[in-house]
Amino acid sequence: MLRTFGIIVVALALVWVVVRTFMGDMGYGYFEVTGEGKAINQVSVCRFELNERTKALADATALARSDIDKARENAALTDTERAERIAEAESLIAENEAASATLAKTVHFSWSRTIGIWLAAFFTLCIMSFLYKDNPLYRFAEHTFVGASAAYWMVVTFWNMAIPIAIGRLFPRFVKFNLAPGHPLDSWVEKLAAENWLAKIVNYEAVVGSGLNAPWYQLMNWWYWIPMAFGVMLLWRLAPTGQWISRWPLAFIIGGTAGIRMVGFLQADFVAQIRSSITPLFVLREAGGNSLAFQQAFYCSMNSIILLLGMITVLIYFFFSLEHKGVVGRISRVGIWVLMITFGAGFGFTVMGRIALLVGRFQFLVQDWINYSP
Amino acid sequence: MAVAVIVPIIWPMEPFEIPSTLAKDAFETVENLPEGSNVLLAFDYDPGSAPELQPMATAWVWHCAKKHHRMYFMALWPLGVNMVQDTVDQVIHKDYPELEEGVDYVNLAFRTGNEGVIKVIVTNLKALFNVDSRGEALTQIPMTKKIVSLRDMNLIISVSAGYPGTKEWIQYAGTPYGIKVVGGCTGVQAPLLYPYYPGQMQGMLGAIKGASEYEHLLSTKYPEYKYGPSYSPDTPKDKLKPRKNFTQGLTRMGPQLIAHCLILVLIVLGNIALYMQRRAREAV
Repeated sequence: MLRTFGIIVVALALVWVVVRTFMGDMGYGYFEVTGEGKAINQVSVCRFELNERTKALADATALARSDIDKARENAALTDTERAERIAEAESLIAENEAASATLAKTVHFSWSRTIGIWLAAFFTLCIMSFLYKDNPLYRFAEHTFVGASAAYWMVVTFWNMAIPIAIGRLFPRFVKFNLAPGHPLDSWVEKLAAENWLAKIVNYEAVVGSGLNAPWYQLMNWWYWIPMAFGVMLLWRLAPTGQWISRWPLAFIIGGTAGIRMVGFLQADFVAQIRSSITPLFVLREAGGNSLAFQQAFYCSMNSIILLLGMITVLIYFFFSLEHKGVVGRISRVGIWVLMITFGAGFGFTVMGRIALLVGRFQFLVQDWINYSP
Repeated sequence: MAVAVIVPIIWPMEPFEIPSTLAKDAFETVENLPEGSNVLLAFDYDPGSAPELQPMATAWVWHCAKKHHRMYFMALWPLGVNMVQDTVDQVIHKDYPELEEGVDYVNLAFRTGNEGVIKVIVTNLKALFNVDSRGEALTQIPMTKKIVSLRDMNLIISVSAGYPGTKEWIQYAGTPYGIKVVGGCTGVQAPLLYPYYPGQMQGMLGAIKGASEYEHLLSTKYPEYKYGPSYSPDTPKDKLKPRKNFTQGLTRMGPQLIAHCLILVLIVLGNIALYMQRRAREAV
């Protein structure tokens, strides 16, 4: 029963959207601004503005038409007054129609945008169908998403890292002429000449200012063969034999990451957080030295006291060398309350985040796909 | 829940907004920077979290452009580049067409390496970023010619949906080098970032509520943000129409309000049902 009802609702919604899309009874959700439109408006205008402008012009035209009818029906008016009012309204209608025509010229129906919106709506509905139960449509959308994300990640990383940073440093001229024209050859040679330890062996100075004509070995930053070799070693895992080779670069990555993160955590989370916790309990003056009003002083002091009490009680709760009985037990009980309030606040934020995502999807379906403009 | 969310989308409502100290501080930090300051905008999120984060990204870019700050966009997430491009199209090309790429703003695009990227560029920006998103060398771009490292930035604005994000910007740039950081994050991240405020982070926008507060502050100080560049104080109030693309945070608080009220009602009803069930069991 519920399933049939759901299918009927979705089918009706689809029919409604299709009819609205292809019969012209819709806003500008599926339109794009033409080059001429961009020139007229100076910049691109969004669908919301186009819809609003069109609606405003249509409303003004309807109002002018009703003014004409009222003027014709109003017996109190003289013929001259009536003619004047009608002429005024007709001129307004002509102006609005001209403005609407100009607006219509500045946009064109966009197949790419339309197909994009429909695909996005299709996948959104497929994912939402999981609320009913696991089904092939949901799995199709999920697999497509994972595949597309992985492919996108690979392409972006290749063009943003592998080409400019790795291959670009080893074969800069090849990269500049074949892959990335913005490659700064001259400045690199200057940098190599100034900073590179290999400058004692390779004569970089000789090619400063003529990077385009320099021999390949003078443009190459030889140090980059080390990460290149690590990369190859890492991929060795895929080879039929010698998978152990990949452990060496992996060990380097893990060791390097741990080192970098440890320093970061020590500075920003350990030392700095202890420093931030040491605050005056009774705040009577602000940082500039000016006295605080009673209300502000009370608020700031309470903040500091709650911070101190919360920190001590939670620390005691996690102190397991003493049995949680008597005073220690009561304090650790307060610690549990502090933790629960913190988790509650965190959960509240998570709920807000999830609802915001739901709102975003529904806004897309209502405003972009169905093309409803409130 | 679906009905509670859809109804305020069809009939929009804008709940009354009272900005928090965190949002006010984030606003004041951007506002009080001298004109023409260097601001790094790190867009570390993707379309999956755009409903929460795009409103604050839009507001921040508009605010920086209004204050004539030089904007350096970058991303530690691959799809962040697209979010930068969308925001530039929506805000700069629309409201500030006079701003020139390479002179007033530059898109440094994406680099992989997570916190490793921050660790490198905090001492040498051009070691990792040698060209911008158009493929132009940073040594040739007017606004990046003299930039050596992150330490040349007056402020880092991090809009992030997870790792790497605001936490890493604080850990590897803000705290060790004393660079000012303001962050905008998703609801899930917000409780993890609170401890950094105000010592290590100058302000914070937590989820859509933070974005809404920032939009409120921005619209109060600069009504043209809400009503468009053609805004005039003489325009009658009934003829003022808020721009939808620039007030997404405020409008999305309507569905939030209804949905939260529904959750509260359901919690109360659930507890009443549990209480009655217990009483019935005790009676038996």
